[in-house]
Amino acid sequence: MNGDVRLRVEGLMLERLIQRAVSEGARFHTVKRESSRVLIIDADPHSAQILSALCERFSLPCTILSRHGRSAMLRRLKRRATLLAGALTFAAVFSMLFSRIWMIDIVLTGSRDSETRVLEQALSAMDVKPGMSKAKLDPIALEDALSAVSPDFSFVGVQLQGVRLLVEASPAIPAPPLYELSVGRDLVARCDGVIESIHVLSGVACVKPGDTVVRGQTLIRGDERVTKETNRSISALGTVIARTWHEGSASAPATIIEETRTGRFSQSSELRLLKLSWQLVAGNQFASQDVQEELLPIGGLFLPLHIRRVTAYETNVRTIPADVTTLRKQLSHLAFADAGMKLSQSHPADCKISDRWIEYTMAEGVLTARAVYETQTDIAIARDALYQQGG
Amino acid sequence: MKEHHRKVKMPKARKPSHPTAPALEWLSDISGRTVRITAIGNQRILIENHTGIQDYTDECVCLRTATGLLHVHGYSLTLCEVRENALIIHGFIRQVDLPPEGGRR
Repeated sequence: MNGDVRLRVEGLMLERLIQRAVSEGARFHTVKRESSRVLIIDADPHSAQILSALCERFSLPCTILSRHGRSAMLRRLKRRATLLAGALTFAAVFSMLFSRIWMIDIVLTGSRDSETRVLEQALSAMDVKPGMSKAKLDPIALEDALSAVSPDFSFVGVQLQGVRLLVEASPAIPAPPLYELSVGRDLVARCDGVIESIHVLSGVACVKPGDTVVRGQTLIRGDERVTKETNRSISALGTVIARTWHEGSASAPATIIEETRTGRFSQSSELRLLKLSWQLVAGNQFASQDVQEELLPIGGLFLPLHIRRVTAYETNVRTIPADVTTLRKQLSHLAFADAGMKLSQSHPADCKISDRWIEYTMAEGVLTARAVYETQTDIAIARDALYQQGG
Repeated sequence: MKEHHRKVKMPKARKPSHPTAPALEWLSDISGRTVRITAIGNQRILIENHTGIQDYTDECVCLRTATGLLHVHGYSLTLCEVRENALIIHGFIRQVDLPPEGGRR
């Protein structure tokens, strides 16, 4: 028995009414006296029905104050049958949406940078894409498969985080070149430069400080004297620090074309609906003009209908000299950026920039800036490695 | 001098109005005619085997029993779990007046 329904009964001798209801099978959770003529009764729906019928029979005022619990919920659901259907639909859609993967994120861990394209291609090949069912995905098996197809990564981890598939990958540390003393090799120049210092660990130095070398020139020869008559090939080892230069340039005309409006203008307009258009007003064209276009919506958000109005202003064109100081400043930024890009492409990150300068030249109305970085770096490289870089 | 000895009779012990053997006390307990009252502290009292509610106010609940009327006095009295022969009176109970055992009052 529970107090789902709260009733208010008014009348005299209500004790008899309660006794009668009890004898007919009703049970009351709470009976409370509000006043000498009023009782507040909490009862289950069946008992409330018995009591209401008795009150009706004896013409006693009986009011249902509130309904709670399961019976009230069922009555509410009967009144709003679509609510249950909506709730069930929502639950079904909710569970369906959360049983799928909607985001795939590939995150690189550690400080090293690498391309994630290999992992993306591998995921596509395995048919792992947004919208797939989570039940079809085995993260551990996917980890193993990704590790197998991407040797550039030392670690690949796969985690399912709700509707997100997180792939964490750590780029592998490239293995250092293997130094084998018995394999003969020479060290050659990686690029043109002037030798600053040379430090030979094995082999014979072929250049000395102050020499100018060109790309591919032998710097340390892998040769060792065994006897007075015989030599043997060994692997050359050492560092050769040289000054190298990297150039970048940028150019721009030293004049500016300026357009001033004469005051004459012409307007044309057309009505447009998606890709269809109807000419409303035809306009004139000028030999030199500045065109402004306006889109005036008519149908608002729901109908893509608008008027396209084009205003052509007649202009006079004249050429004036540019501000050389400002132009030089802008060109110097571009030229140094170009030189820096070439430097980063051809040299390791540990190279030391010792100097930099810029020169400007003017020829045929075009101002050209030439920026130069001077660096000090180890240019010794094995000949095989130089061939791999393009000879 | 003759002494007159006055005989003093010892009064007979009065028998209880309902002589029952202790072994048969449970018969009246299961007959359903004897009211059973269980008080839990002074805020809750369970009354079983009553025959109806005679009167109910905030301060007094009067129940009919087979042997007469049972009164429970107190304040803020509420009837809980009202069933055909049993109910719980909840509130601050001050006094319970039992019906006489002999019969209806």
